[in-house]
Amino acid sequence: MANNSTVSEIRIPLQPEGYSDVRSTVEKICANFPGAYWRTLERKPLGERYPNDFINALGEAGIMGALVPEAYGGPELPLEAATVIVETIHCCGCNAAMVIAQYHLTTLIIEAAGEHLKARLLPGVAEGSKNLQSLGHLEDRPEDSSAVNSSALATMTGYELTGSKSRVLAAGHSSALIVSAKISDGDDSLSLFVIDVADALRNGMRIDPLAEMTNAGTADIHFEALSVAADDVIGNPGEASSIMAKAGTILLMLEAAAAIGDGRFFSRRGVQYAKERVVFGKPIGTYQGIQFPLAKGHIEVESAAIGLAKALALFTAGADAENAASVAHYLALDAAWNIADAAFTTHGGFAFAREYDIERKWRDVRAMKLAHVPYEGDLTAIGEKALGLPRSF
Amino acid sequence: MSDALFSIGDDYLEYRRDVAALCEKFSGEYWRELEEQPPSGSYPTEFVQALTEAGFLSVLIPEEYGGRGEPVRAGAVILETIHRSGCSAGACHAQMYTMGTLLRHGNVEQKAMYLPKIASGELRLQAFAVSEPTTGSDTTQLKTRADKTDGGYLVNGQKVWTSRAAYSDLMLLLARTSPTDQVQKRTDGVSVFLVDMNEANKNGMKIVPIDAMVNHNTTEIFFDNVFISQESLIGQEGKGFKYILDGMNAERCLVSAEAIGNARYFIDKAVAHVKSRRGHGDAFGRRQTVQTMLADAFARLETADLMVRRATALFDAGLSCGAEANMGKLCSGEAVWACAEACLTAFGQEGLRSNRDVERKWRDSRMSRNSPISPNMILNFVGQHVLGLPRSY
Repeated sequence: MANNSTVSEIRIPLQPEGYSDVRSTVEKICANFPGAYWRTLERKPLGERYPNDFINALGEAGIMGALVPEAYGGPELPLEAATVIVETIHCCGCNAAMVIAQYHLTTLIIEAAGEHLKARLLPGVAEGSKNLQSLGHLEDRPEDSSAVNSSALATMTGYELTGSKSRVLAAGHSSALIVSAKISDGDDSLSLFVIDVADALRNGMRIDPLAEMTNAGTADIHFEALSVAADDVIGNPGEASSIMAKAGTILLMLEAAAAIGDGRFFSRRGVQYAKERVVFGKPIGTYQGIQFPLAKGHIEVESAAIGLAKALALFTAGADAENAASVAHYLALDAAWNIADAAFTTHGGFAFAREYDIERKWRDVRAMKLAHVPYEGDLTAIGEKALGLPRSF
Repeated sequence: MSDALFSIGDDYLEYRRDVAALCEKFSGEYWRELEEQPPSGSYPTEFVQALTEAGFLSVLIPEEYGGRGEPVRAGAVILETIHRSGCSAGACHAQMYTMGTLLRHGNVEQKAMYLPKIASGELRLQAFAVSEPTTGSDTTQLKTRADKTDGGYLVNGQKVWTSRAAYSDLMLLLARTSPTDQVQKRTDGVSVFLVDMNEANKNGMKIVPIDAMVNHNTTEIFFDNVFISQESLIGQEGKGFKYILDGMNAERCLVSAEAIGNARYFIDKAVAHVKSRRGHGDAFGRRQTVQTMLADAFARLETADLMVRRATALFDAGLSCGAEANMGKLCSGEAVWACAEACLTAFGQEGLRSNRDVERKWRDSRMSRNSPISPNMILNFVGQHVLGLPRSY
């Protein structure tokens, strides 16, 4: 852990150009998945909207297993490379929700799981044959999102899981599902269980795909006395909160990278349209009413990108990156939303036309401001941890 | 240069410590009393003297001329610390960037004659006469003329918003030496002069203070056939616009650092206040509206700081920094205003009381959103030169 005096020694690149090879690999893959792919996906029947071909293409190129350690057959790329991948995917107009989920959960397994779970999950993730994207943490329609009703009854051979989880990403498409639940007769602390999805579907797990504003591939999941082996707990029983908190900082940085990619997508597309579209005899980009929101948006996105670089530098140096990650996440989402709206306005009525992809990405950005750490959650974290104010909720 | 790095932590720790210690001797009371002096505030002579004696104002002057030969970033840290400490460098910051024009474009004799005296504090170079009543941001259209005469030039015209003119021994003057219809490029035909104020005062120059909301000792200057010597011309006649442009990037980096300092002053002050101040049975700081307002402002401050650091590092590395210096200026202006507003709101009506120093700093901070460049001109620059949109004005 770096102390404060070494933090003052940390530097970040003046002209970041890191991982350009990774970036160009991802760009080449994304070129095969243009807007039409994502638009078609959204119109498929519920439950068939998962971007299989895209994820397979990334998996074959080793992108989905980027963070897996060499010992398990992965390239063991640093987190910074993962943020470049996510940023590039979003900048190209694609969606990295499944990639972010996979990096988040891979990190969680690497950091906290026992050797048997690592050996079972990570080699498949590294070679692209296994997906690790589903996390069941939110309860199905609870009155208070901090109250968890799912419970795991201890049995002779392990646990029996009963309850519901809401808005689980990639449910039915991820090879494994990680679920938080209270152990019956234990205290209120949560434990993290690893569930093999194919097995569970035969043994009392039900998946109800959700219709939502964006194609997030979410579903509600229900368990009825689902057997889980005693070994299939990540870390020790009761440690879910601390394990999730640690991986949470990484999730903030990955989502910030996605938002920065979205911001650059909207900057590029907004500028391109403002140059081409002629109204009142001139390209509309000539008018300050159009030009200024795009310029402002560009400035905000690029500022947030430096904010993310700072968080990554702290993380890489082993220093506390949580505050910097919250700042970067908050402003990246803020910037992405502002420029998304500016690009929307620039396109006028055509923004509503699905073929421009503006409305799809615009919906995606708005949804991202609500999850996983909501935008407002960043502010309470900054207030409490960076400014030292009392907890406000 | 892509491997160049910049600091994200507290760099120049000694300057931060020593400047803060010096500023402790100049409390809010000192600054409040200055504001009360007729006609519209008075020059902080003792404060500027103390900074000069400690060598802080001459750090950017090369060692051979009696300075410390530091990069602009060192000057930025000094100015930031002054403002974070509740003081104001408005009375003396111009020396840091106007000096650069003399250093980079002056001839050997000019540098030898003036730089050592500026470094020692014997001469003040604090005034920079550019703006005119009818020529604001459209600098190339300035009308003040310097017409060739025996042994020098005769200056006629008027400047406005020339701060500290009455307290400066030397002034950089931008004046037209060729009429606009006789130059090939819009930026040609204006020249930079280093004017000896004591001489000019005797030769027809008249300085009139402007009564303003902030104590920057700003003035209007009238020139009626004022003779200035041939030796006062800096560089080549007609190329003055180019000479002041790089100085303007340094100026933007330096005054942005002041805005960052002010913003940190407001956050420190507001956080301390809302922790201790109680109402309706609890600390103000526990209220989410108070806390999220401060957290939002703090997040903007953090990334604005990074953008300013990046711009300054690019300048110091001799790389192109126009876009970053402008973006840093816009971000820091908005960030300090968010912090100023949050602080004033956190204090409530108490903040209006002069002896809290909040209202004085709040008034000062409004300047950061207008000066030395309009935010609209920054957006024009980014729209046209960064995004490649058509010129909009």
